[in-house]
Amino acid sequence: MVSHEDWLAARTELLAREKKFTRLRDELSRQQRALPWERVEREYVFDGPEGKETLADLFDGRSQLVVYHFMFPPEDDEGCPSCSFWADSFDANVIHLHARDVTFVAVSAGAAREARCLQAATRMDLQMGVVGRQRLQLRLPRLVQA
Amino acid sequence: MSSGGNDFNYDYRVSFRPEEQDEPVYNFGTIVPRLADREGMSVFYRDAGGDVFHTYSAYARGIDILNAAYNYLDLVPKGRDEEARGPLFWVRRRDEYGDGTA
Repeated sequence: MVSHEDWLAARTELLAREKKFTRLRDELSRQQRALPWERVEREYVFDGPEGKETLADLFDGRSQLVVYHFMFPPEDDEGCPSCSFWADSFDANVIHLHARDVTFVAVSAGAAREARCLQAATRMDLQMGVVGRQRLQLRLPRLVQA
Repeated sequence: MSSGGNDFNYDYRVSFRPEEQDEPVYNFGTIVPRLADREGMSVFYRDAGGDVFHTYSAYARGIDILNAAYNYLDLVPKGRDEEARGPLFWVRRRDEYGDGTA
């Protein structure tokens, strides 16, 4: 424990490093956005609440798409607890992302059988109850065999 | 629908076939996944002509920034408090904490 003057001095000293980090973070973000693009050549078909949709369909009319790769292996009945933890950061943000031309979807590998897909979807609704009201498009792709 | 229509998670390196799971194939070849699925995020762009482009992917610690609760925990005195038992040992699904005190 220290006096307020000493607390403020230490805090202000670290503030200088925080500001430096913030500027570095901005620069890193610029570099992340400046990465080259690769064309998606393959046709992916996802199965979700609105039926079968291609990757292009998932954009839902917007030009930018964020995919969260949600861990939900086909043999499991419930989504990964850690990914469910991440998913709790999704819902409130989706409406703001929409306003900036970004669509957000969660894609998992699981749900190989229809019954399991329904069960999984139910559990997802429990995990992300707010998500549906916020129009998060949670899609559980049933992977179509070649 | 092409014959490759079921490979999205494999192509974007978040699902792994059994023979890959003990090799460093996750996070751009830097992490052994040890599981059939791992976490990540990818970004795509669709142009006016309908062409789709892959612009970004991140995995593992690369998606920490997307987790709002972790960003708060990083600013409280105890931090994530995970050193003794490993990352995320304490995490439950939101309806599984019981009395709320974990």
